[in-house]
Amino acid sequence: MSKSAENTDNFERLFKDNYAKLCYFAGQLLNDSEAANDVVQETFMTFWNLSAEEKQAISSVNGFLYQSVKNASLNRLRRQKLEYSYLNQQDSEPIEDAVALNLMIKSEVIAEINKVLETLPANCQQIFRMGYLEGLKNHEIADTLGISINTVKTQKKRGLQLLKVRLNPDFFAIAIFFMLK
Amino acid sequence: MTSHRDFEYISSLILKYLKNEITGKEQQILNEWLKESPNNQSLLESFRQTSKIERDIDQLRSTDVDAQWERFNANISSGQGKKLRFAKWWPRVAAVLLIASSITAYFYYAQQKLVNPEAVLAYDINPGSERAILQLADGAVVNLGRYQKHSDHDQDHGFDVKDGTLYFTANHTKGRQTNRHALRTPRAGEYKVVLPDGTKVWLNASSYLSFPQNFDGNERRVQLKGEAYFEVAHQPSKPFIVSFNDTEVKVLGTHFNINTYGNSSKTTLLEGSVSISEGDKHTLLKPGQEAVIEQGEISVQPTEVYKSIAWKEGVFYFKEDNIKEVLDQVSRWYDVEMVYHGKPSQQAITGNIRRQATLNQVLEMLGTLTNAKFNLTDRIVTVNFNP
Repeated sequence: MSKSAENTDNFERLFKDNYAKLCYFAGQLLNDSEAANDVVQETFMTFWNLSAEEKQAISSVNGFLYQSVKNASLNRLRRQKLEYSYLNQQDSEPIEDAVALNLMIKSEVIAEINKVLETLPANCQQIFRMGYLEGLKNHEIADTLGISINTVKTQKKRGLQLLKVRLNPDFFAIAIFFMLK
Repeated sequence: MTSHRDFEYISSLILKYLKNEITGKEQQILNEWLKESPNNQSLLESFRQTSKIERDIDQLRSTDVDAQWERFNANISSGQGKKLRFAKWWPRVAAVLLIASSITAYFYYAQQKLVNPEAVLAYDINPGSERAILQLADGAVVNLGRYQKHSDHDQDHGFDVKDGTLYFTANHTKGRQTNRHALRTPRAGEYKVVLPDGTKVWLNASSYLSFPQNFDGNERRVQLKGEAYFEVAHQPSKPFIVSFNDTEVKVLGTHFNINTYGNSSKTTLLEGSVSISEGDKHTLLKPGQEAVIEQGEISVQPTEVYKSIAWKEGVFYFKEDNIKEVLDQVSRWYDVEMVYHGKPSQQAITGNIRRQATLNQVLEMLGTLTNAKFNLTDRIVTVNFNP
């Protein structure tokens, strides 16, 4: 099977744009991040190995990837169930299609929200990240950066104003939470 | 029921709704979808709950896509094309426990008849990662985040960041001994730094290390809070001194771990020799020994050194530890608060689990080792010792 350089570039973009959300989706089904990574890796390998005709037949690549991750995850859960037969004593129901569908929707939406949050301007990013990722409070950020609390607040406000332009109040509440925590 | 084809369409409607860009016609379609099932309503509702969104985004971002892309490429080039051998299914007892725990969780939630999509998702917290804040001698601050993907080089300050390690270069001449850099790890963070003299330091979560821009005096002096493992570059003419609390640990070139969490400190020696002074008391450690300093008193005892450095090897390693010690470590690494009910048992805990496990996996393991029951909500773990 020959892959042109262009195909490889496209494939890399497909992989990098979609990997995290598929992994999130698989993680929700499997509750195990290592297994989730394995499943998503296998899915991309399957896609990579499809022939050109097979790829043409796929109407939505995104849908195909989600569906493959779902099937592989459920297979894995079934396999685990067999390997640990003592757990069979517990009655279990397979994950319903409706639940898997809602998880797909959830993964799509979460990935989009994340993209919006990542569009914060660079000068707000550090304070935003310290506030959210490091969980630091305003005065701690001020201490660490050697700037005044007022500057921290101004930077946060500037970020908020920029977000407000394009977001409605519901969405804005989420952003505020990230900024002011 | 919504078909598999149009989950993308529904997602796009929800996003338009959230962004306030939805048209009347689209709103109608979204309303019909909402009427189909209460699960759909609660899904939409969940996007307004900021604490849930926060956890979800945290989880989404915890994936290192570049690393996974490299892994994928490695699998392609090693010719595994069609058949992959990814997971080794039976590597360790710990792994078995982990898998068992995820199945248990799955069945537990599956039993709840899937009333609410949220119910199927066990709330979990991801482990800590390589994160730190570097405050340079001139006041500049560099955020060394887990999402830092490219390598960073700062000629002015004489440091490089490569693969989650911070390197300071020795031949930087502008600095003076009095100008000090500080590296600080948050809870759920750890970082590795190579100092200007070549000494390697692994900094554990919630820790602090300050060191001069240049070791140009007649000694090399650093300050520590929290926990760090040192591999000191050998320089007989310039002793390396770590100070913490009221203690000084002096070495020429050697490997050792210092843990200053809590009310006492513990210095564990792996190689070489170190001298410890606390006020006017002095003692010498031999490899395989550890010095515990509590209320100004030094006591020396033989110890299993791996236990004190397991953290830097990516492992929680418990050996006859009491439950509170174990939970303190867990609390720092997953950045959660512990709330205790009942009297902790005196039972000693022995076991190990990788530090990349999620919090639920660790709690599941501790649950099988002890009688305690754990309940995780909103970054608070409620521990019931007498369930």
